[in-house]
Amino acid sequence: MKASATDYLNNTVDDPTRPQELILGGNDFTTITEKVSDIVLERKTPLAWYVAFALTSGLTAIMFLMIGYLFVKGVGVWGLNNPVGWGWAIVNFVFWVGIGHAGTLISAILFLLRQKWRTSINRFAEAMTIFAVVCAGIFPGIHVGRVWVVYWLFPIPSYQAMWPNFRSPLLWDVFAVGTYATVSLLFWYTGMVPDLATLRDRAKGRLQQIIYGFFALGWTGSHRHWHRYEKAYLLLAGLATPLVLSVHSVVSFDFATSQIPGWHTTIFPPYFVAGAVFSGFAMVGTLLIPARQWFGLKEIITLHHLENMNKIILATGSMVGFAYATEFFIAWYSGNPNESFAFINRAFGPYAWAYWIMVTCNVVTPQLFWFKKLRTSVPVMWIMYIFVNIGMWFERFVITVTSLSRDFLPSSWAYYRPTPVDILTFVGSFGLFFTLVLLFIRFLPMVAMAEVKTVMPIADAHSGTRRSVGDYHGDIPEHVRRKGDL
Amino acid sequence: MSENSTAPGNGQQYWRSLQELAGSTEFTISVEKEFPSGIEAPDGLSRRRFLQIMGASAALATMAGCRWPREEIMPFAERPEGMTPGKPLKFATTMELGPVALGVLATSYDGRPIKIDGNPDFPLSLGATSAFAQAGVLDLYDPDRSRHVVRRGTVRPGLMGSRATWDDFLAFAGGHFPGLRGGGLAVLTEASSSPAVSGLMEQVGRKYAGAKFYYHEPVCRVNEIKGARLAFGTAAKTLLDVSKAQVIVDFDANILQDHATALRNSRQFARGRRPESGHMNRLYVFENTFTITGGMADHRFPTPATQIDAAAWALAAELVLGEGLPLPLGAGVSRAGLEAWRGHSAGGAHLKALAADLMAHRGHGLLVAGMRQAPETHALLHVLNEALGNAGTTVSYLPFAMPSLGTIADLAGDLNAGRIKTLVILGGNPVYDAPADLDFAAALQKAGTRIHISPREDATSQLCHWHLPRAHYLESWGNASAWDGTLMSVQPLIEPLFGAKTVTELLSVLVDDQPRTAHRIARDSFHQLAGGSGTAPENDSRFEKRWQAFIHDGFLRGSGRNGQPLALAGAAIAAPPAPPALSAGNLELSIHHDQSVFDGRFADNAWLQEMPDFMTKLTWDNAALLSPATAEELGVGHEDLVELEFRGRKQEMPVYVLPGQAKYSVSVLLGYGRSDAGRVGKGAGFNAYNLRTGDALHGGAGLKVGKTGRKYKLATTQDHHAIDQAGRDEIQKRVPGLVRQGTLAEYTEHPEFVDHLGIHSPPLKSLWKEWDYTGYKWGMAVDLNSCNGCNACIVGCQAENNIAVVGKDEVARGREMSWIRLDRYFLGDPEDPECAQQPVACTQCELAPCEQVCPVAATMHTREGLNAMVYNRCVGTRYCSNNCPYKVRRFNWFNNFEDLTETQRLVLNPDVTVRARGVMEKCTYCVQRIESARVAARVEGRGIRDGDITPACAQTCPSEAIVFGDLNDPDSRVSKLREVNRSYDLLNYLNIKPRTFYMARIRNPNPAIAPVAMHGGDHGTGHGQDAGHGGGHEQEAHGHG
Repeated sequence: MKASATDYLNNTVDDPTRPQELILGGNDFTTITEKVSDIVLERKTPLAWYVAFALTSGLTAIMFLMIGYLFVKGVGVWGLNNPVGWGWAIVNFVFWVGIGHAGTLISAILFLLRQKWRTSINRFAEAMTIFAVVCAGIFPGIHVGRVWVVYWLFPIPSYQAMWPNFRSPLLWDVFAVGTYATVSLLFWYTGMVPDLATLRDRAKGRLQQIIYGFFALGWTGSHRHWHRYEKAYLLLAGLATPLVLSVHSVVSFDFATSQIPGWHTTIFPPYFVAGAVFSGFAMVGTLLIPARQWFGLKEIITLHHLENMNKIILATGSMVGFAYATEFFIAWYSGNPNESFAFINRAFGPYAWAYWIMVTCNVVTPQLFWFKKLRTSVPVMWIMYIFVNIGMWFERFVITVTSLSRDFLPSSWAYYRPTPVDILTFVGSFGLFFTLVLLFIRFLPMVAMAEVKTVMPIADAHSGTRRSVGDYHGDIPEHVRRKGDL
Repeated sequence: MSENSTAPGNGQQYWRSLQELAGSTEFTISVEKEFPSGIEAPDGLSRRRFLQIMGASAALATMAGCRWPREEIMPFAERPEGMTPGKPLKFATTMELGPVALGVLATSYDGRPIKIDGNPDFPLSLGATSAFAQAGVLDLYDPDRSRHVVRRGTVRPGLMGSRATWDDFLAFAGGHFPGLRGGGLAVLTEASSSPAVSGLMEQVGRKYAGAKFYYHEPVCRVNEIKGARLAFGTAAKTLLDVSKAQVIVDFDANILQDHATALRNSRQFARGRRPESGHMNRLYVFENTFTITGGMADHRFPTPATQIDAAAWALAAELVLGEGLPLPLGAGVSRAGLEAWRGHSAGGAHLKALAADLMAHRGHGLLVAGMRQAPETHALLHVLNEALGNAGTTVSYLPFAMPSLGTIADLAGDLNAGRIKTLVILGGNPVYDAPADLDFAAALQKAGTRIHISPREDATSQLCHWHLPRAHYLESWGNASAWDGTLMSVQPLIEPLFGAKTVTELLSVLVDDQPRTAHRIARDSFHQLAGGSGTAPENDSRFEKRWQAFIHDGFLRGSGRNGQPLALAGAAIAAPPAPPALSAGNLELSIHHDQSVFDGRFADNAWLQEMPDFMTKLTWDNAALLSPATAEELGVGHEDLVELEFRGRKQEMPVYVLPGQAKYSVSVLLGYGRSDAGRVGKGAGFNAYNLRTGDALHGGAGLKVGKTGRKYKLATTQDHHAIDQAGRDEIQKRVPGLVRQGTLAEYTEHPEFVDHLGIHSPPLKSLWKEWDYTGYKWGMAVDLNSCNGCNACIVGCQAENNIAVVGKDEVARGREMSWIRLDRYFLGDPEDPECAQQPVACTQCELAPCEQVCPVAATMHTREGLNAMVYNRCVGTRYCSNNCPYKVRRFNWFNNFEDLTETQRLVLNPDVTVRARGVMEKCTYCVQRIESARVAARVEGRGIRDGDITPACAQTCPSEAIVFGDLNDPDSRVSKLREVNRSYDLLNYLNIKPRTFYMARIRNPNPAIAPVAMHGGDHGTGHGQDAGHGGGHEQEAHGHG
C-alpha cells in the first residue's frame, strides 16, 4: 500500500480545531452498516476461516479429551503434588477471568465516562469477555477431586440438608464469577439487539431471518424501543461497573484471605483488578488487530482506538509494576520472615525464571508505549500484546505456584511440574476461545453498528452534515422501507 | 467375655487368647467338614472363601486349644458367648526377626488379623513395636504368597514347577527320607530362637546319622556372641540396661534400632533424658552413616566403618594410659598392647574428653559395639565395661550354649564336594542373599534333592525340587525365646490362608512317623520345657492351665533370666589391623541392612517400601550414600548412576549425597534389587549383595566409584528437588524456631528459653469470643527429646488408618499419603551436621485455617476440638491443604485402592473409612479409638479416663515420645506435659492454636567438647528482642494452656 493511501487512517494526532474523528474514510451510516453486516451476510466465508476453525475446534476437542481423561482417572493426571494443591487449572482460571475484564470495562465504565471511542471496539471486547469467562468457568469445575458432586458448591437444597460454607472465598468466587458471567452476557446481548435487527432486516436467507429475527426480539427501531434500550443499557452499565472491580477482587480473595506467605497480602484486590484490565486489553488488541486487518475495518477500528488501548495498557502495566514493588517493600517492612522469604524465593528461588518472565513482560516492555512511535505502530503493539498475555499468565503462575511450593515448614517444600495433560488442557482452552471468536466473527456483527453511528459526525446535530432526524436507521433497505413500517 | 475366664486374671482384660473364649463357651457342636481341607484359591482369595476362613477361624476359636488342627468350619447359627461380631479381639503372639523374638498383641477383627501392637507385659518391648512388626501383618495378605506346594522334576531357569499338594509331599517324603538315614541329609536354617525348632533339629540329628546342619542369616549377630566368648570364655548374650547409663558410647551399635533389645533401649534412653526431672544421660556415637542413634547423639563422630574398631582401641588406650584406668584381672589386653593405639587418628580429637567423662561416671557408663564390629572389639569393650565398673549395672551377660552349625560357606563347600544328597532349606533365600563369591545358585544345584519352605517362590525356591508354602507367624503355632531367654508363644489368629505350613511341621515330617501338627509340636515343646511333670499333656489338667496362661500372656512369666556379670577369661584379644588409608581412589564400602526391607525379606511389603528412610527420606530404592565432600571430590552428584567396583565385583547404584556420612565411606543398603520379588518389590532398588563377599561381609576398603554418565530418579518424601542456596539459607534460619532445642546448660540457665526461639509476634488476640471447650479437650504432646525417628509411628498409623500406598512414581511427585511424617533437618557443617527429627501430623488447630476455606464445609470442628474431615462431603478443592501451614493434609489424587486384590483388602481396618478418589484426608487423632473408648466408658457408666485412648502412633512409639489425652483434665499426662516449660506450639505466631504441641529437645553436650552451634545467630537476636516481646511470649507459647 502506498503511504498516501494509508495516511488518512492515522488519526492519532489531535487537531484542536476540529472535533476528534473517530471514524475515518468518509463513511456514512450506510457504509458502516454495509461494511459490518456484509461480513456476516454477504461476503463469502474465506477459506482461511475454515482452516482456522478446523484448527481451533481441533484444539477444543483435545481439551475435552483431556478433561474426559481427567474425569476417568482423577486429578492426579495433573502435575499437582502435596504442597502445590493448585496448579495450572487455577492459574488458567485466573488468567481467563482476568482477560474477561476488558470487555465489561470498555462497555460499562467507559460508557459511563462517555468515552466515545469505545464504540468501535466494545462489541468485540464484550464478546471476548464472554468467551474468556466461558474458558475460565471450565477450570474450577473440573479441578475438584470429585467432579460428580461439584454442584455442592452451589447453594441449592440437597438431601444433605446443608448449605455451602459461606466463609469460604471459593464460594464467593462461585457467586462473583457467576454474577459477572450473567451480567456480561446480558449486557452484550442487550447492546446487540439493534444490530441483530439490522442483520434480520438485511438477511436474505429464510433461516437467517428467523434466527436473527428471534434474537432481535421484535426490534423495530421505534422511539419507544430506543428509549427503553438506552435506559436498559445505562442500567446494565451501572450494574456491570462494580462487577468489573468486584469479580477480580473476589478472585484475589481466594489467595488474599488464606495465610500462605505470598498469598496473604491486602494489596491483592486492586492489584488483581489492574492486572486483569491490563491482560484484558492486551487480549482485545491481540484479536482486534488481525480482525480489522482481514475484514477491512481499519476505518472503523482506527489507530486512534488502538492508541487509546495502549495508553490504558501502559497505565495498568505500570500499576502492576508498582504492585510488584509494593509487595517486596511490605515483605521487608512488615518484618515477617516468612513473608520476606516468599518474595526472595520468587525472585531468586527455583521459580526465578517464571518471575523474571513475568517482570519482563508485564513491567519492562509495556514501558515502550511511552513512545508514540511505538504505541502507534501496529506490529509493535501486537507483539507487545502477546508479551503481556504471556506475562500475565506467568503472574498468576508465580502467585499460585511459588507461594504454595515453599510455605512455612521447609520439610514440605516441593517443586511443581505440569504434565502433558495440564499443558494440553490449557492449549485446548485457547482452542475453545478462538473457536468461539471465529463463530462470533462469522455470525454476529463484530462492531456495534448502532453505537458507532452515534459518534459519527453525521449524528452530531452541530456538524452540519445531513442526517435523517431521530433515526440511525437511515440505511433501511428498499424492500423493507416499502413495507411502510416507518 | 465372661468373667469366669480360665485365664489367670492379670488386669489385661481387653485382650485375650482364643483359649479364654474356648473356656467359657458351650458352643462345642462339632460339624462335619463342609469344605475341602486344602485351602486353595488359584486366582486370589474370593470373598466367599474369605468368609469361610473367617467363619472357620472364629468358630474354631471355640474349640479348646485345637483350632486349626481340626479344621472344622461351621456357620454361626447361634452366636457363641463372648464373641461379638464387629468387636475386635486381641491375641498375644510373637514375631521373630532373625534370632530376635518380639512379643506382640495382634488385633483380630471378625477372625482376620488387621493390626499388630506391642505386648505391654513383654519385658523387652514394654508395649512398643518396631516398624517391621507393625508392617508384618501386611505380609500375611501378600498376594504373591505361594498358594500351593510346587514340585519340580527338573530344575531349569524359568521352568515353572507343577502344582502339588502337601499330601504329595508327604508321599514323596515317606519314600525319600528313610534313604538318608545313612548320611547325605543337610539342613540349612535361618536364625531362629524357637526351642521347638531346635528340639526338632536335634531329633533330626539323632535320626539321620551324619546329617549336617548349617546356618545362614545375612544380618548376623554372631560377632557379638563371639566377642563375649573371647572375653569370658563362654558364649553369652549381652543385655543392656540403658536406664542406669549416664554416659553411653555407641560404636556403630545403633542401640536404639538394631540392637536385640532396641525397643527397651529406646524407652530407657528416652526416660533417661527428661531434663525437667533431672535425668539427662549423654550419648556419644561413632558411626560412618547416620543411624537413628547417631541422630540422637550428643556427640556424633562420623568415622569410616573401617576405623571404628581402631576408634574403640584408641579410646581404650586413652582410658588406660591417659586416665590411668586399671585393667581388670584377665583383661586380655595389656598396657603395652594399647600403647600403639594411644592418640590414633581414628578416635578423633575429642577422645580425651570422652575418656574423662567415662571415668567420671564409672559404674554408670556403657560402651557397646555393633554387629558389624569385630569380635575383638566387642571383647575389648567388655573389658572396659568391667574395668569401669559398668558390668553388673548397665551391662550384664547371659551365657548360653551356642549351637555349632556350619556356615553358608561350609555348606557351599560341602555341596560342591558332592557330600550332600538332599538339602532341606528352612526359610531364608540364600540364592539371593548368600555372599556373592560362593556362587550359591550353582553350588545349590549340586544337591540331588532340594526342599525349600518359604512364604513365596523366591530365587531359592525356583532352584528347588520342592517348594513348600510357609505359614506367616499369624497363622502359626510355635514358640520362640526372647533375648533374655523368656519363653514366648506363637499362636495363630487365622487358619493358613493358602494351606501353608510351619517349619516345625516340615521338620516333623523328617522325624516323626506320624507327622504332628504345629499345634501339637508347640504343646509338646512347651510341655517339655515347662510342663513340670512327666505326665503326658493330655492327662495333666494342671498343664492345660499353664499352657493356656502361656498362650494368653504370649510368654511364660518368669522365664526370662537376669543377666549377670561374667569373669573375664584372660584370653588375649588381638588388636585389629591398622585401618586402611582412605582416599577418593581407595574408598570404603560399608554394607548395612536396610531399615525398610531389612535383609530383603520385606521387599514385598508395600508399607515398608514406601516408608521413608528416617535420614535419606528415600522410598522404594536404595542408594550409595556419600558425604557431600566425597561426592564433590569424586565429581558425582545426587541421582548420578555410578558403578561401584569392590574387589572385582561390580554393581550400579545411584548416588545419594548424605550429610554426616563419614568421608570416603560409601554406604550401601542390602535387601533391594530382588529380581525374584513379587509385584510390590519388583524393580525396587539395586542389589548390594552383588558386592558382598564372605571375607568382607560388612565391606572394607578398596571400593572404586566409576561414573556411568546416566541418572537415576530417586523418590524421596522430603527435599523433592535440589535446594538452591536461598532455600538452604532459609532452612538454616527457620529450623531453630521449628525444632526448638538447646543445651542442658542453656536450659538450666534459662528454663523458659524455648519461648524465645522462633518468630516473635505481638500478643495474639482473638477478635471474637472463642468456643469454650467444656467437655473433653483432646491434645497431644510430642517430645522431641525422645523421638529418635524410628518410623514405627508411620507404619502403625498406616496399618490403623487404612492409609494407601501410592508407589514410587507418586512419591516422587510428592503424593505420599502418610498422615504422620518425620521432618528431618540437617544443621551446621554438611560433613558433620546435627540432625533434627520432628514428627508432624495434623495438629488439630483450634482456629483451623483449613476449615474456613472449605467451600462445602467438609472439614469442621467437633465440640471436643477435633478438626474432623467429613469424607463424604468433601468435593476435593484442595483449598484446605493449601491453607494448612503444616501441610499435613493428604489428597487422594487417584483411586488408591482400585488395584488392591481381594486378599490385600483383608488388612483394611473396618473401623476406618477407606477414602475414595478425590477426597482429602489427614490425621484424626485416631477418632475411632476415641469413640470406642467413649462407648466402653459409657457402658461402665464413667467418663473417659486418662490412658483409655492411645492413638496408633503413641501406642507403637518405643520412646514414649507421643502422649495423647484430655487437656481439660489437669491430672492427665498430656496436661502435665503442657505445663512443662519445654512445651511449645509449632508456628504459634499464626494464632491457630494447635492442639498438638512439642517439647523442645535438650542436648547434653560434654562441656569439654565445643558444642555444635545449633541456634547461634537466631537465638542471639531472640534475646535481643526479649524486652520488647516479653508479654507476647507467654501468650504465644501457652496461649491456650
